[in-house]
Amino acid sequence: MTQAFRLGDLQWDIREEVANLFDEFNAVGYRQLPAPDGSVALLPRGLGRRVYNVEFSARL
Amino acid sequence: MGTARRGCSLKGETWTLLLQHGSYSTLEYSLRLGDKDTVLTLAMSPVLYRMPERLATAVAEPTQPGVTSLAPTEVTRYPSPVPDPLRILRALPGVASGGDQAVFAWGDDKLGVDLFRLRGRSGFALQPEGRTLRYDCGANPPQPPRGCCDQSVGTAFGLQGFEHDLDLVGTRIAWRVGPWRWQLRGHHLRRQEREDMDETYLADRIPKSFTPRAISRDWLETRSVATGRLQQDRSEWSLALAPVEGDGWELGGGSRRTEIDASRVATDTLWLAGEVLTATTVDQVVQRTRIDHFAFGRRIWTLGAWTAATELRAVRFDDPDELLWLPKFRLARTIGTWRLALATGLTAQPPLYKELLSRTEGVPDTQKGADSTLELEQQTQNMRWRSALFYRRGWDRISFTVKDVELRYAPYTDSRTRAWGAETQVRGQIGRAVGTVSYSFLSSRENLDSTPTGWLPTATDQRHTASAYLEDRMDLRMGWLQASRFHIRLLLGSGFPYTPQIPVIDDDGVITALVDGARHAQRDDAESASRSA
Repeated sequence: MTQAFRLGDLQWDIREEVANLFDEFNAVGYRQLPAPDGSVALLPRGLGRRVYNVEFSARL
Repeated sequence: MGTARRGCSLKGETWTLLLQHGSYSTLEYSLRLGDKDTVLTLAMSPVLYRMPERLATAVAEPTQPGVTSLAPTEVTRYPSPVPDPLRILRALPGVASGGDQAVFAWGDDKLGVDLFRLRGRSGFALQPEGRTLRYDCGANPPQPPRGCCDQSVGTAFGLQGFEHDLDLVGTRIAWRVGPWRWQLRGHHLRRQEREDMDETYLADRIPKSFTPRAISRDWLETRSVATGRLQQDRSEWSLALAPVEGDGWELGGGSRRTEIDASRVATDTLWLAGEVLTATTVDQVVQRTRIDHFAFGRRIWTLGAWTAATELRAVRFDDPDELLWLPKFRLARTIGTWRLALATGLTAQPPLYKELLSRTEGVPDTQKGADSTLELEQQTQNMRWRSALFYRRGWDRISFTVKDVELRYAPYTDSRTRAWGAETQVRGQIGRAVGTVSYSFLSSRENLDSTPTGWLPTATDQRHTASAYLEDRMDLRMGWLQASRFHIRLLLGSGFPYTPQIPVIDDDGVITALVDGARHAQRDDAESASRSA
């Protein structure tokens, strides 16, 4: 969501965001790691999980 | 508050006029009406609304100001056979959110000058920053032994980051001499890339298959470190001649100078209880300057609702010396709100960066391709719908593969490619809501000259991508709050056809080797493909 408001001579924007709402982990690659029993464990590589962002910006 | 419709008479007293409209800030006037007609002039201030094709920051580590990171799904979003996921990432809408642009234009009847500047910054960082590794029983093979689900395997920590800066300045100067119009176009582009990776994987205990008999200590560590940088300066100038009346044809020519200064150092080390078992280091440097020359001619015909445009471009590429003729043709027809267009042509791209890193001597040939596109578009007052079918062939291509998230290019042109797909997008406004809905389909194949395996999926062969962006401008306005909106963005994309390596286990249950997964094995090693099968 974004709200725009004015205080004095400045216009402010506040932006709130939930990224990756469903908390997906999409693998973009794998690394192999030796596991204790002699097998190979795959380490999936992704680009982050759910995150919350808040952004303030001002227009002069 | 008083509300007046056309034809109403208001009493001659003081009214409060509250004015709200779309993307403008709310106005409130105190209005005193007398016996005579009153004319009120309103000046409304637009409130910043934007279609925020901006992606979420989705990394654990704070990024630098102006650097936008990617949500997990975004890496598989862009449906293109562009052979570099890093370039794909940079092409995503909103990634270069830290940039700005400026345009200056001045002119009269005889002289026109445009100046423009563009800056962009983008970047992303990959997890893990630090995590405990556990067996994943729901993951791809190999499956862990019974009873090992969710047990700790080891720890991983580190970070991989990538940043990309873009600075562009350019100008267009047009002047008139008699019936002719001359145009001088030029720009300078500087691209800078930085790659920084340092990752460590620490196994808690030593698997039997990795333990030499003479060593009994019990920890194993792998570490990957890579540092890369690129600075590319490109200057391009061209001079073109066309008649003042109409845009019937244009002739021109120019030069492009590209200077590349890049390096990449990567090290992979495996320790067993503090002793180095294996270590590999790759040190790659590219320092190259090339000057390409080109000439072009364009011609446009208009016959009623039909428009045909053709272009012939001749390019002499430097190092290796190649002269290529690249024709293009476009045919379009407009019927009411509909537009149908067919475009086809040849393209060429010299290797400029990572394609050169693996090369020890010489330079690969220019990569060639042919594109064909059929577009259908409808533009109404509140809605725009566009669909396209495309087919692309490529030859003299530099193949590449993906190891983890790192691209590895072949050192020479070794393959042919073909890709086809379709995309459709609706963008428009219904009431206060605006939004975009899109879907794309892609099939991308490559055929390596060195192996008889035929057509295989490319590393960026991504089948389906669907996305939606909806924004509702809510009517929440009060005092200092001038505007508010709610927006949601959905994305569904299929993944790249990467297949991880598969261990080879002997009769004693000991791992003796790792072989590529299905796609990579077919692509790179037909023998290992038969073994894994």
